[in-house]
Amino acid sequence: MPHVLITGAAGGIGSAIAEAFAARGATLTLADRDLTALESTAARCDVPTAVRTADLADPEAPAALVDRAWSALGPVDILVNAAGLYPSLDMADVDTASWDRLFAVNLRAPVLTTAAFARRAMAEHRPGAVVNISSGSAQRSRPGGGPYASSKAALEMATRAAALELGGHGIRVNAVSPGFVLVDSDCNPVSAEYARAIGVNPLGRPGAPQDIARAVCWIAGPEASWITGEVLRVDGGSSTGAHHLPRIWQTDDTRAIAVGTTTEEHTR
Amino acid sequence: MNDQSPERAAYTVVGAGAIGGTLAHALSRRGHPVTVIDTDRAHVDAIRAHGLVVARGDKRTSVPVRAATPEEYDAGPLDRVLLAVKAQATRSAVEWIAPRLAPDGYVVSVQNGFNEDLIASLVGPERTVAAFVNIFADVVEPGVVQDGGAGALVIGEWGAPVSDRVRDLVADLQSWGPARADDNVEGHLWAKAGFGAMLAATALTDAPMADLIDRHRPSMAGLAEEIFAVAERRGVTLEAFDAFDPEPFRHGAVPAARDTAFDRLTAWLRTQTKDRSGIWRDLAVRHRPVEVTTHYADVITQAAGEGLPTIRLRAVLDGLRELECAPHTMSEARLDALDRLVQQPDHPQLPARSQAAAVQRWLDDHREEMVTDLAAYTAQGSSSDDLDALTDCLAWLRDWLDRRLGTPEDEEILPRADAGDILVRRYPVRGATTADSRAVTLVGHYDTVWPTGTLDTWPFRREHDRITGPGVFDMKAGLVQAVWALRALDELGLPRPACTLVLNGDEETGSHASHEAVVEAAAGSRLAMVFEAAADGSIKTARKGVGLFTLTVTGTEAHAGLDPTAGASAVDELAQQILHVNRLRDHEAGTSVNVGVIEGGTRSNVTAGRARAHLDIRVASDAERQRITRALAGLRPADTRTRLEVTGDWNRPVFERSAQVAEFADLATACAELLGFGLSEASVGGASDGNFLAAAGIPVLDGIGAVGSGAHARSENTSVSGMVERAALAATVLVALAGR
Repeated sequence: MPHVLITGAAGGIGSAIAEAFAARGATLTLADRDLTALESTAARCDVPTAVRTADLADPEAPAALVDRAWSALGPVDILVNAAGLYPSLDMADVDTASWDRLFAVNLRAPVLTTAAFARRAMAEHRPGAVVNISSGSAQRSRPGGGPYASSKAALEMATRAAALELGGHGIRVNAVSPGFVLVDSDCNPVSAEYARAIGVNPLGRPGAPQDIARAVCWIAGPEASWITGEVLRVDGGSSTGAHHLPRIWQTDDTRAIAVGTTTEEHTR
Repeated sequence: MNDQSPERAAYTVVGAGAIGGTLAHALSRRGHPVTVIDTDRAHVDAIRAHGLVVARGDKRTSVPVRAATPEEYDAGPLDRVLLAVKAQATRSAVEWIAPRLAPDGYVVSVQNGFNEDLIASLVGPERTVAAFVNIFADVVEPGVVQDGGAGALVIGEWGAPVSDRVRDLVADLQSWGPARADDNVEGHLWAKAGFGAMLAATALTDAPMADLIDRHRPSMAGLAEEIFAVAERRGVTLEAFDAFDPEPFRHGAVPAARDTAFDRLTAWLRTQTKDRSGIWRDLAVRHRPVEVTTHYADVITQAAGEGLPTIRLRAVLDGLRELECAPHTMSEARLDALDRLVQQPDHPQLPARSQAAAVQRWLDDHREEMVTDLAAYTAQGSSSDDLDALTDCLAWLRDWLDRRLGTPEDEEILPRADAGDILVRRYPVRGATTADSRAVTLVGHYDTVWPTGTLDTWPFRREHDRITGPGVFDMKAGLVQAVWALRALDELGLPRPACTLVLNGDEETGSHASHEAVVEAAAGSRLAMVFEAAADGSIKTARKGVGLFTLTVTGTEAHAGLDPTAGASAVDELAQQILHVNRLRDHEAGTSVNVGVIEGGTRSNVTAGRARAHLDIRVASDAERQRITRALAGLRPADTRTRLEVTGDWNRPVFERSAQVAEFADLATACAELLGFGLSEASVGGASDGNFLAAAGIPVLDGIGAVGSGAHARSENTSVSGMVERAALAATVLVALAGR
């Protein structure tokens, strides 16, 4: 059974990922900043589970986390970078400190954990899989989410770049890009109005953390063994187009033609 | 090129090495016009001067062939090309061939490795012919190829059924030997890749291939399994060749079938002229890069693409790359390491979160009872030299053990005449799923260094988390933890292996009266957990061996003033010997030498007739123990009128961090991680009963007892939270052992 290291494992999506891997019998090392919240995730994972607090804004923390997980519970097979910050920050209000902290956690940390993971895996000739949690906003920003969107866009390129270089060593690197997911998180309170507006998608329901977790397990697992450098959108189809806009053509004529054709076919 | 002998087809052999030279020779002998192209100037010149020579035993046969370097070649287009260059030279060779290749000509890859795709990309698949070749020849000097005996040559189209041109080629190559046409060359190439990986692994050291394959069957089978898994994923049907049947080397093959296949393979290899591989020759004799790393690059890429592991193959290739730079580092240890890599389980079976958490919570709930037990136990004085106190303490212990753990399945009390008796209690397995029925031995001592009466002035005390008192750290808390670990598992209904509790009463004085009995009681155990105190929180995975020696010098007494030359001073001699003995220190090797006490002489005006030094020597390896033993036995007096005598012995053997010790240390570390704390390892100078057990071949997890400090000192202390933590650790390790 694989040993899976998950950052941000106390969060809504991170904890769902932990539970999904636990349901598949993995060994887990869970990392986040808050020990109490981590413990509550771990309590729902009835597999060998270690918890580890880490502030991934610290430049030393990512490599230390990987090394510790590796030494303590044995070789890590799958790394999931789910830790991320989503501050409300307008592009006109950006300052060095907030930008740097955001990029430290959202971009530098997953890049450094991936590097540390790759170095150990290569040294021990082990294959591996990395899954970065990106966001639909990597392609399409929202008001107040520009810095976050920028960090995720960079993370998607870092995903492809790592996939390119590590593929030859049997290490796959992919990203899962969730659409809007209701996580019920205190850090990211969402107004009902926003949730309604953004939850509109072709599949007609907002995402659940479990939707993301299942995709992560799949793309990290053997069934996706020939997939690397991919950004998998898990968004109920919300990125397919402007689903919420009204139709341009509203006349009865168009419908009549369509219905007429169908009727004619039936009668033949 | 048909001008020489129109009735026979002309061939161009690119690369006249072992394979190319052998085939060129065979074709030429049968009357085919043959041209060889080789980049080696000396080889080309020798072939021009003396013909192409094949040596078979003492017999040499020469055939005339045209020879040229690629730069010199100026003849017409190429029709039939046998490509026999090293795999890494394929691209440049085919780039040379492509513009010269006739539109209806072809290139057949008589090479090692998978080169057909590359060739097809440069000259087109319709002009590419595939071959599987297994020829054990060798270029021994310019122009001379040493024949390697019978081999195999299978030719076919690349991804298409056998064609007329293939049949013609096979017919012509009958002059070499049993060449044949086959629709499934790829199946042969993959089978050869599996076999070739074994041969590549044998080049990691300097010994006959057959012997190494025989001695390292796990590595060899593991390598083939990895490669065949890739072939299987590609839908390739593997083909047998020579004495190699790939089927028993596929994942999940029947072990008996595999053994038979190994027997057959090694027996066949022993009949071959060459007992070393070409790869070995490249590294050790020719000092040139090996081509095998190129052969397998494609396999590794394909495996990566399929998400299949190539751990062993990469380890072999990495080893060979190292040897390219440092061929003198060939060593069978490299294959031993590969065996371990193969046998190493991917991940140890660990207890689930709920089990670890339950143990921790239960022990935390019972922490005050643990403290109460430690207080009562500490109140039982148990000085190593007070037999009455030891007897009383043991009686108290037996009663306490009955209360906490119930009646054991079996109890033995081994009486000692001049030391505390030994208690052995056996508790049966409970709910374990492991097939390993061996017991785990929990080892401890109940004696302390504190003389009877110490308790009068220094009783047990507890302040918040801190506990002080004689023997609490060394090692009364450790025993309380062991007992509560077992109790927690019993109460929670969690599984554990059979456990044997062994307590002795003379550990602090060297276990002279008990160590043999302790080792005997633990014989056949999976693991001995020694509940000695931790080293600054760390478990102890290596302990030094301790030797206590006395060096006695006998001189001749005389009046130092009246007759200064008559005597031979034992003190002077000892002074010199001390300097000599101190030079035996080797801090890097972990060897310490301490001359702790000296005594000698009678009066200042008497030349000393006798002097003595007491030595404490500690060593970290058995090799060092032997070196010191030899050195002490070899001491010679500088003043030959004096006599030296070394008495004493090694009190405890070295406890080295063996692979087994490391495995259990990793398990303990993982269990600690599940409980939320870090556990480190330490190598210490102090000895314990762990030394005796390790020397008897029983894996030892030592220092799993109390956390605290101040052993043998008035500052001795331990902690309540540490007791809970360490009891939980011991219990979790036992749960883990019950499931693996």
